[in-house]
Amino acid sequence: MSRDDWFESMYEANVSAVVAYCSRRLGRENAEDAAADVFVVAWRRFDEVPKEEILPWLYGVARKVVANHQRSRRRTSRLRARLRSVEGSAPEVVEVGAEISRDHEEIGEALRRLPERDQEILRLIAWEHLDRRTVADMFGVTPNAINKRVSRAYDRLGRLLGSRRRGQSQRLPASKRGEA
Amino acid sequence: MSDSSVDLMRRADPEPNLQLTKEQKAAIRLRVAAEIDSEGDRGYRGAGMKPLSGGRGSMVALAVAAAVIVVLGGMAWLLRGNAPTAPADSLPEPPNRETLQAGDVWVEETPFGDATFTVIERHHSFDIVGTEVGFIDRESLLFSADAVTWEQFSPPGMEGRPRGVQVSPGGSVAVFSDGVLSTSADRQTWTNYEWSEMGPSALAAPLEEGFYVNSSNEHDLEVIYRLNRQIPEIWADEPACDYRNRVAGGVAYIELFSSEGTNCDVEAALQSSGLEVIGTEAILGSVAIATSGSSVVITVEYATAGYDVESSQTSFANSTAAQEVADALRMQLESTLWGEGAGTFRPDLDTEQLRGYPEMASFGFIAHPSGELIYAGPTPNFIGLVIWKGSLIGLAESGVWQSTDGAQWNRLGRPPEGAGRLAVHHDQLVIDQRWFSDNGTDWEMGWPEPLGTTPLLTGAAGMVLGPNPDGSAWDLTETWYSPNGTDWTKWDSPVFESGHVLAIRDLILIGTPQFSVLVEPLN
Repeated sequence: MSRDDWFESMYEANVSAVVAYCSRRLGRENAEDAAADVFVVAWRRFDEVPKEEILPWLYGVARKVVANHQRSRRRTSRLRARLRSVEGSAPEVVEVGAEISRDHEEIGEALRRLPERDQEILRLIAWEHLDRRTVADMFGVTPNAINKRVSRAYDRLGRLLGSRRRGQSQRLPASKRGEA
Repeated sequence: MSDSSVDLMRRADPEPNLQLTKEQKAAIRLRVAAEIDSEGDRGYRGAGMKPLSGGRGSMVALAVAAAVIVVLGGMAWLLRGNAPTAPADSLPEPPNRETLQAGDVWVEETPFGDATFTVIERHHSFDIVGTEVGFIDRESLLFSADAVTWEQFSPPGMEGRPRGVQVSPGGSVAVFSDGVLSTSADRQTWTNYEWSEMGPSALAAPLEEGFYVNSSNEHDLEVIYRLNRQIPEIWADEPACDYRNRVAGGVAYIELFSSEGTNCDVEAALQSSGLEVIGTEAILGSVAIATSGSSVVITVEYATAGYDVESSQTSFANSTAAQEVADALRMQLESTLWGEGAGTFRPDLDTEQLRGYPEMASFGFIAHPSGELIYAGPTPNFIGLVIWKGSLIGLAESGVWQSTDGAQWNRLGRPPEGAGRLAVHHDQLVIDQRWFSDNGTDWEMGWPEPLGTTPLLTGAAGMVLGPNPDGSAWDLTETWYSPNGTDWTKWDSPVFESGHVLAIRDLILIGTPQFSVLVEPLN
């Protein structure tokens, strides 16, 4: 199989998953740009790319690409903040990121309170549907370490969600709490 | 483990069933083909598709350029929505910044929309110290103590285009040019340093009690850029690994990003480059290695947290890969953030509770175990280094920190609001255009009295360049200088007349790692 043929086949099989990965972390409007970067890397590194089970490898590259986008966004955000302090009329920064629906806003908020690495591990398992052994390989740690990490992260997530819900309940009027 | 958390997490997936259409896939593939083509790799055409003209490579370049925009008054022009727009496919390529000439016109994407630019002047770095001003010309250095008479120096070894100049209060001068750092205490005898020889002490030595304002970081970036060129060769096979330039008050920094799970062999890269590690920095899951001379500095950035410099050295010295560095740093960092007993997150933890650590909010910070003072950061388009009364003062977005030994840091008084200019005037440290302090501890909003009646303000006696003191508007149409902070004279320097702009009106300064140009947007 030629390099072109391999790439075409690989691209066709994985592009939707990679775009989804990027969209979850950067928002849809940046996802396709980021995904294109991922496949450019795959093309350049043809000799090193695993020819089977490539998706985790692509996710690993995508993680770096997403990080670059996010750093760029932070730089722009700081620039805008400076502009606002100077001019007072600069447009507000519209942060674009993983667009968790309002129905699940609370989990998005809780997720962001976790260490970045834990966030990513949970996303890979829950959203990208990777098994823990694959995730362990991606992070270069043992499956046992990932198991512990996942367990601890879910526990923290649960506590954060519980704490948030208790807080909301306390802020509700008595009548509303009764209805609940 | 909480089952409900697992279920909630799954249900919160923002893209549960994303499947691209044939057209969407083709569009992305076209971008891939264009990117590959733009880099000269013509082996892939995206199944027969024609590559895009320009490609994403040019857009990346534009984004980089936009990211280093230094805002002077003219940026407001863009913000008011005056920027002309042009269809993306009609944007002319921006000219090569190395060859920009006055009058060049092009359209460029900015964070605020497309804008048309015209080059007015080539801008060169300048520095202010005491009553003296140092300029860097295309071929030589110009210094003046009175902004009227100027002396010209041409250090030997300053071959190629000079990039920047730093002047210490004692008169020592450091000049950056292609491949060489030249220093002199008397401007007659010069010592040259190759980049590989340049250690933290190379520039730390001339710093003496007094004030020191480094008003432009373009030359710092250039120093870093030179050093950085040794790295890409090593990382060429690791495009997923990243590196970034870092301003560091005369010390060249490189940040090598090596996230967990990516086999970026940082140590091999450093060994091959002949660089020694002087610092690492963990940035939200990534590890950055700062490299330079002979010292070791380990720093960590994590939201608002700092990190113990000394205790992290052993961890790094014993590690064999960036992964281990990351784990070691993170373990200690987490223990700081999470406190005794895992799982007790301390969201209320702020920098005040981490006294002794520099602010790490977003800019760089300072640390040096040897006692020599180094300031790393802040951003390339910002004033970066201040020595005040013999102490190094670092500036971060949400705080100002002071140290007399480079190890213990104290937060100074009230933090300035927002970013802005930072200047030193006699015994007063002026931050932004709204804060000042007589003692570095108590801060007041407004203008220090001696400067309150001046038409323009920024910092060191000797030169001013900045907004109106009442904060009403950015009026950069005139440049004034003062030898004492009280008596001010409009400055019509020969340097200005010969085309080295100090006074700026409705201009945007775009900095690049190489140099900067002054450009003016067209209506």
